[in-house]
Amino acid sequence: MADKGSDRSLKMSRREMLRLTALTGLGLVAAGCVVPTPPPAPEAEAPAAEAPAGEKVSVRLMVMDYDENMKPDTQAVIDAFNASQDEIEATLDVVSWGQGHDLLVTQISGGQPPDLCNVSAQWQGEWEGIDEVMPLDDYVSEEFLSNFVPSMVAAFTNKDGQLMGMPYFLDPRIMYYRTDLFEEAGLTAPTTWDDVIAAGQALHSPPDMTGYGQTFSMKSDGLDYWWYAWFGAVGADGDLSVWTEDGHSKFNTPEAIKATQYVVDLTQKYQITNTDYTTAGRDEELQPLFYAGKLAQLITGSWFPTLIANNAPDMAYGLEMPPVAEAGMTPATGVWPDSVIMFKQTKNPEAAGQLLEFMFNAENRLAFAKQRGVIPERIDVGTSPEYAVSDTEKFMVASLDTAHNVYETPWPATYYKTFVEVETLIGRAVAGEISAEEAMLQSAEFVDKANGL
Amino acid sequence: MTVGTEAITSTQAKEKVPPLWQRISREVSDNKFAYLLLVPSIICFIALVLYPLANTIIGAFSETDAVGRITHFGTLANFQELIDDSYMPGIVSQTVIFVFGSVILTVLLSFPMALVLNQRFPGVIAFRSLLLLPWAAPLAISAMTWRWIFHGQLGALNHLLSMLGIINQQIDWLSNAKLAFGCVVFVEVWSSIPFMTIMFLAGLQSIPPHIYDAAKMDGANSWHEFWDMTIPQMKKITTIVVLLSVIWAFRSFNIIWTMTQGNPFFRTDISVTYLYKLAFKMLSFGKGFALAFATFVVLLAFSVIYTQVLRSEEM
Repeated sequence: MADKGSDRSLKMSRREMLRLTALTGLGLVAAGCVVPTPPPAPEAEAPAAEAPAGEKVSVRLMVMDYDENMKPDTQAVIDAFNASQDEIEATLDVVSWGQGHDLLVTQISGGQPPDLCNVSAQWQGEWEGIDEVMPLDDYVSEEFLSNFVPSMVAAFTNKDGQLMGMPYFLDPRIMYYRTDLFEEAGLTAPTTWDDVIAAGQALHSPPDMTGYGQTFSMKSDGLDYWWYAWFGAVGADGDLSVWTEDGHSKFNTPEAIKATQYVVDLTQKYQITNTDYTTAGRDEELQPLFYAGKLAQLITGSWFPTLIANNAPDMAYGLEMPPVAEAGMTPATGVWPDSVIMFKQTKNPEAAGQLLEFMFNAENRLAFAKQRGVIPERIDVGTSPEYAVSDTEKFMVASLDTAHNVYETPWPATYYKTFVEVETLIGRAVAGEISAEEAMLQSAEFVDKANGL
Repeated sequence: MTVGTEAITSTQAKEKVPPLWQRISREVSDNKFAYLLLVPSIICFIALVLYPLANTIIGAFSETDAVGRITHFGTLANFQELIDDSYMPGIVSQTVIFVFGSVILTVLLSFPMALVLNQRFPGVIAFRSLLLLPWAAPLAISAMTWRWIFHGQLGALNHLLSMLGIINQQIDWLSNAKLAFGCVVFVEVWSSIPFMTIMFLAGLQSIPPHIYDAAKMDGANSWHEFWDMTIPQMKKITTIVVLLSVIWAFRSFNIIWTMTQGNPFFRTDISVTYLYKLAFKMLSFGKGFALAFATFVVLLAFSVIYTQVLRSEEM
């Protein structure tokens, strides 16, 4: 028997140890360039789980936070639901919007998504495209649905007539402008593109004041500052969809090129915009710039009055619909709605349906609208004297008459990829690298090709 | 003949050495408890490193759905798409410039700094501690701070330059492609200097002082001491530090993502930020896997060189 201590040939040499250490090190290096990967797609839907007698059925709700009070406010709803019955135990996860998409992608692919979740309608389309979203028709009643703004329920109904998500709230986009500065300079409210340009030219004086805010950095809602121009170019009397009947994009139409030329001119020709339009975030830079008193005109969502009230309570500002290309056109706006969806991987769809109806009762939705400063998706809440008490709230509700759901697309699976490219091309046009026409012709070609047309 | 005898002895010795797996098995049985203690780490390593890595490699050669699940294995389409991607030439050149540019600049700044901090002067300890500050701060927070410093309208840099009369209109540091790229390289260099300086300093302090004494006796001046003695003595540590820095710079996601997210128009993206965008922004997971795999191969090459250098150091 060999002596363990003396038989060095049986021990690992320093070279071998080093080799093993190096292999381990290589693995760690490799970890740096790993994309989080999921297990293979499940081949069959999981059967509904039945809780043993006496045990409660679990339902998990995940919500993205709109503000710092989202967690306690939503927890109060969950607590009320749990107290209202003794068969279901609902739990809550609150995550930030910034993390939400990646987290849900990981959970879906790992077979552990929540039962219910509020998501961007863009995400809903994306996951509907891979059959991960449960149609809600069997879990919510017709009577229940009759309380909601019909156009928004329709926006979440797919081409097969299935309701795929509940509209969580509505966020029509509005032009906010500094009434004090406008009055001082003798300017008229910005209802047309010419008004915006005239006001911008009169008020733009960087770094103290920027005439008009816009961004093409892919940091806010997809392509939003182009959409506002599109609404103005087409008007409420036109067809606001960017898709033709046969699924081609309308990016190469004269109206689309006109809209792009407008956003290009604001920066290149009239030079009245913020100059960080390639990197600025709407929420991170433009909105704070407005309530810091350094931005005269900004189109953003219906949540903005709440932010102004919190950050600049004395600021004088007015509201207008997104400006139209020419006087006499009917202004239109759009919504980038969020929805609450049920994942197909849920093991307790009936229980999740009950929680869904509870969340969307009039009392909870009124509280949510007041807490978040958003526009209710329920007709009875939107018209309730308890809700629409201020002129601002009434203005927002009225704007819904012409609101277009910008996520409406026959191509949910390619929406993300194609709109990133379109925003890049439009941004390059605004930066003066290519013309507006080139940007839109290339956009149309890219989008149609990506959609197999 | 002596040479022949040595050759035979060497061959016999080689024949007696058992295979590696047998020696590993013996090593493990001899040190069971020690290896038992390693089991949790090994499980974590397999679960958190090897398994995702294997999935990434498999994903690179597979079709995937919108959440990255593999729907069909056995295709090179992801690599073809990557080759056809009009942004890829830019991403590759930006990655190369970012990695090598930042490492070269860091070396050029860190080495003189280490030489200074290797001297004895009042406050040297305080300077060494201050040097560590950028390294101690979380990268995301540092990058966020720099993002605001570089902000065109509200940033401190423009304010300072304006006060000094150097500029009379704002510069949008992060909106102009070339300036933005320069800014992210600058912050990468700023955040890398502490580690490299400390490593150089450690290297300088490990040089035996007597060789300088001997050189002085031979009449060497300061320049000769530096060029003929310090530089050769620092060669190996420099190689190791440079290789490590290259590997880290390749993986530098936090700074770029926090400062620019690759904007404007992908002009500040490098391979790791672009592969993240491919996967999570454009939902082209397969393409993202393919780029991750390609990046991995490049990093592997640098890692192999690194381990070779380390081994030659050990021998």
